[in-house]
Amino acid sequence: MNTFELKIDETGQIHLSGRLDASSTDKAKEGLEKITSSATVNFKDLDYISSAGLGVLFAAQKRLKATGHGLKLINMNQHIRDVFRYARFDLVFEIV
Amino acid sequence: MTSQPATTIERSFAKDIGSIQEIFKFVEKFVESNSLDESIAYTIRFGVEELFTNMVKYNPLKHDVTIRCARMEEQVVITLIDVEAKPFDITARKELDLTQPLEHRSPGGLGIHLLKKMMDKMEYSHDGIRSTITFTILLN
Repeated sequence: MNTFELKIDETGQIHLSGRLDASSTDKAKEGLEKITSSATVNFKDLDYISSAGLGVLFAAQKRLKATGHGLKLINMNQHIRDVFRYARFDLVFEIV
Repeated sequence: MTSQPATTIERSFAKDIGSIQEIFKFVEKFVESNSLDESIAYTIRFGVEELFTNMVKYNPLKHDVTIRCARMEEQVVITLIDVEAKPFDITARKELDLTQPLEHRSPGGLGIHLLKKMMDKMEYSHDGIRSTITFTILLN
């Protein structure tokens, strides 16, 4: 039920779902490595993220920013939004 | 006067990242049996995962890690115990500078920073054999 999934739809939007924890970072890395230009990441169905998950998103953002691109993050639940705020990732990502 | 635990559950888990889903099930059981809301559940899950993964990363000895969840009247207290661990007081780590530009930031140490932000209290002790880390979340 909470298994982490990363899907990319036909418009290029990335959809995260389930829990992005230390046991699911390989799956997240694998999906994000396919992204080579600016993209939107939809958090609507993501229930949970830990610092391991933040690290994966951070690495993708750093790689994309080096070539003038970046990730826009949308539809976070309040708990995840708080974690991003505590990490000051509001300075790293565009969060809508 | 210190309140006594109303509910306590305890279990040991293999020190492996693959244990995380089992640990989450254990936490859910505690959350459900104590009717804790999702905000508290998220914080417990987060704290347990961060501390457990630190133990996996920094103590390669494959002893089990014991996790204890206790519900008091107005707080929950979560304890993780790692045996034959070298002393490493995460509560004494210095603050990160999180205002650096992206190119100068690294995610290292972020988990500990977040724990300090999210928990109402964190305590560490080492008795020569065991590292014990406890975090407390106030319910009001």
